[in-house]
Amino acid sequence: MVTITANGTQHQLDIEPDTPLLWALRDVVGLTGTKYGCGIAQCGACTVHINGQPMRSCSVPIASVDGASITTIEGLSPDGKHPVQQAWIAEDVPQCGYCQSGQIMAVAAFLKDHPSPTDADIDANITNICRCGTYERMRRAIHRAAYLMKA
Amino acid sequence: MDGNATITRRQFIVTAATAAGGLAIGLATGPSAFAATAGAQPWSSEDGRNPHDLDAFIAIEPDDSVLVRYVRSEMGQGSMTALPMIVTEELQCDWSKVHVEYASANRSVRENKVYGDMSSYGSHSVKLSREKMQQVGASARERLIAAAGARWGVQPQDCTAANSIVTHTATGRTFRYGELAGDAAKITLAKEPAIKTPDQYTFIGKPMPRIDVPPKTNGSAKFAIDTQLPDMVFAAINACPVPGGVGRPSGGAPAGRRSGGRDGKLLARQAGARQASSRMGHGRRRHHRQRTILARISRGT
Repeated sequence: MVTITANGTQHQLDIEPDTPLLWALRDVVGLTGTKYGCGIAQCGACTVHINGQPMRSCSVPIASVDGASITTIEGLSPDGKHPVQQAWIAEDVPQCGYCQSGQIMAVAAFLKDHPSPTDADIDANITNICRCGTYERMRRAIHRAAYLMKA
Repeated sequence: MDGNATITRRQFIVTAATAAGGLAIGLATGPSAFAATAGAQPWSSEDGRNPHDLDAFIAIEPDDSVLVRYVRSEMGQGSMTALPMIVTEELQCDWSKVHVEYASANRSVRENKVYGDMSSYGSHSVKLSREKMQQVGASARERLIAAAGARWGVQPQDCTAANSIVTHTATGRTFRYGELAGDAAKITLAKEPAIKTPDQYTFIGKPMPRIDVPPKTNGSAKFAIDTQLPDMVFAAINACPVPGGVGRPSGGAPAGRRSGGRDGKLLARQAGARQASSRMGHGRRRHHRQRTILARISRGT
């Protein structure tokens, strides 16, 4: 039995201890906003916050996060109005949208440490990949979100 | 969700939201005031129908909201916004009251391929659907006008439609679309109205925010991998990570006891998709109520 808090709600999960957090969230808790991409922590589609830190949940065994507080895209803001989400809409960032939950979660954590990011900061820290190639719009949206967070 | 034909769209959205663990899905995104919306769920009803259907493409509810069914697939190319804009051009409805959902392939099959070609490829969605969508919008508009004319006892040509309202020009009397939709649904036009030519467009061509974007920023957008059906179970195939290798049970737990599966046959511990699929087929036969098995390939241990 593993206990996690997902978006403020506590869940006791009776699952195999090596089950990746991603599948615990999607299949057991029912939070499907977090996506499966590569399964080997390379693409970032599955990014969630574990105790505030961005992590790639496909490669985090559930047993290793017993007692942790998890934030997924569904819980990033109560109304979908987190500055990053607002910036994403304003810049029309998503194309197919599949990777965007992970992108937004990665950026939300990144901006906490980099409130005024340079393009080089973005290149070095946001390593999630997007098959549609929305990188230029994401870059604009990251700068816009940084501005919104300071305003 | 057993195809209960009496369930309303809103009931369904509420039910689906509850079933998904109380997530705020559907229209909870809070779209900007001027924008049309798309729900997170592909369909609002199991059978693709709505009690307020004007036809297979359009439903107008008493509150004037317009449901437009989208016959192509939105993959970020924007046609889920473009095609309803084309309908709106002719229907003369309020864009902020337009809600878009996917047309049901099942309904198309049941109703003599009413949606026609539902494919999406080669930048063809707008090119191949534009004329049809204009006709759908124009036809609905003329039926609403005819319904208003009948109520007032005046000729349809003495009425105009704009911004989701039909007006009798001479007297200034008005009906909202939502008040007319029930009557309009029963009207068959003697002949289809002509559609606008490009020089007459007032809405097509305006840059508008894509309606599929907000659900893609809050995790509510539903992709194929997110499909969950009643009694669905999840199976994971633990394949050997080495090409040509054969998996072996790890951790000492027999296959049937792994992962809380309801049937050990579902969980193939051996490498090899053929073997796995035959086992899952066996499981499916044993669970009559279980409609779908989603197999996912997880990294082997």
